Amino acid sequence: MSKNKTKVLILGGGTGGVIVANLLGRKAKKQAEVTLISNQENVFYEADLPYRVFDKKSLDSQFKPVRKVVNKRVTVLNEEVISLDVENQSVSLKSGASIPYDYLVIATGAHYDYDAVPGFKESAYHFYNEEGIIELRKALNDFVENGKDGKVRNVVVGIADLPFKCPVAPLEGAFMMEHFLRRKKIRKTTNLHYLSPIGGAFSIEQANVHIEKKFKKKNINLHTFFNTETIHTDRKIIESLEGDEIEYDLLLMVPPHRGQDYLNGTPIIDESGWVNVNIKTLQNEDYPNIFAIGDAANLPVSKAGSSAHYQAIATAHNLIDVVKGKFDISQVKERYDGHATCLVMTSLTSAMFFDFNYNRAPFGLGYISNRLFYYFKKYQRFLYFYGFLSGRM
Amino acid sequence: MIQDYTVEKVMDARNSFCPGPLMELIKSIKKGEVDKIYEVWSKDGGSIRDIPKWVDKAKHEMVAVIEENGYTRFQVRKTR
Repeated sequence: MSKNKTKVLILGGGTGGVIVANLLGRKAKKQAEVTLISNQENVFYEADLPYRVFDKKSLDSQFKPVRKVVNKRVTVLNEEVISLDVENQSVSLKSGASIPYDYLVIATGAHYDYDAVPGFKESAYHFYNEEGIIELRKALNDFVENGKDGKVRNVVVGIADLPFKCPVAPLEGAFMMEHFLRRKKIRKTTNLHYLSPIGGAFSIEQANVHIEKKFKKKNINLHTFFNTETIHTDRKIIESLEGDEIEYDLLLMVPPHRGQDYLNGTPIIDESGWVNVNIKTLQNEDYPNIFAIGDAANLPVSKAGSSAHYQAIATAHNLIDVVKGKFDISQVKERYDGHATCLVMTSLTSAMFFDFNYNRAPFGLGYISNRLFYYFKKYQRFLYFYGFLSGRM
Repeated sequence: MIQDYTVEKVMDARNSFCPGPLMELIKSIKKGEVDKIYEVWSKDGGSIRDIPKWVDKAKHEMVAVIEENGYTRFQVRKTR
């Protein structure tokens, strides 16, 4: 590799990191020496995880090796970052190596802190990783078996803490749970509750109207302003910061999300460990050679794969222009407009489509729940691995 | 109007969208001390509706809602 090349270091081998790596590897091959560091061997496709709870298929197709989906000109290191030195522009790895950079892209996502909410670890099930799904499948199976006795039980879907990945995921969990319980013929004896930390089921008012209408139609009890404080495992009760209590027999809850540990102590994060960036350039304002995208960034937009995808494209194009000398790092363009896209499962066989940005609510047609959107969601995995990750789409 | 109380912490959430400002307030109140006043700034129209409703539901006290040029300041006393 040429010593004259600009060193671009990408941390994280998820959606955002892989897309930035592929675009730079392809479009700035002469100017940039690109390295991607991931502590995971595989890219994990997460967008259909709520759906995967309810089928019994293997989860193997959710994974692809990072090396296989990243451009060959990009150096991929399967290592764990343990610290970041923003002054000296380098990261330290668990193996003892130190990697310098000229430009850094932080795309290391969030980690789940199961201890952040008392009782979560002991009581709640979730669908945010492979282990969670396997455990939840077993718990659902037991719930269905127990449900044959005809007793009335409570299923509660909630959120342990904010912010969290993919705001529509728990909604999808509730909608699909409702359909699943009907299929298993225990819906009539199951009260289904949804706990929302905000004033409605969803943050965007125009979309919320449609979601809440569906909740009413499907008899899902919505509890607003319910910010989980403690889960009392012994009494099977969830208590909120606002003073409410809900009983559960089966609790499906989004785990608490936090920023990555290696960022602790650096001057670029907020109180919760998310990297501070300009909401349109995705650049840290104190250290302009550092960008953060996806779940790792402190942005007023959903932490979701689609947002990470659009943010990665915006960041990659800014970096490509910088390394090619089109403009200086202090002049990067405001290329991200808050764009996010969600296919929202509204049952096991239907979905809605939300496409929005900082200034625009989802389009009207997307609110029509239908089978076509469901098929998009079902087969989007192929598009993800063979299209989105390349950065061409 | 002269303010005869002290604000413990001010959260500037003008760059955020609903429910971001409310979440900033909740986060501070959760960690904060009883009787202290917490202030959040928002320019999102949804905050005008959501923040007073949440304060009411959580049984805290809305000390003041101050309209500034293009944004609103919400001052809330933690009561429990």
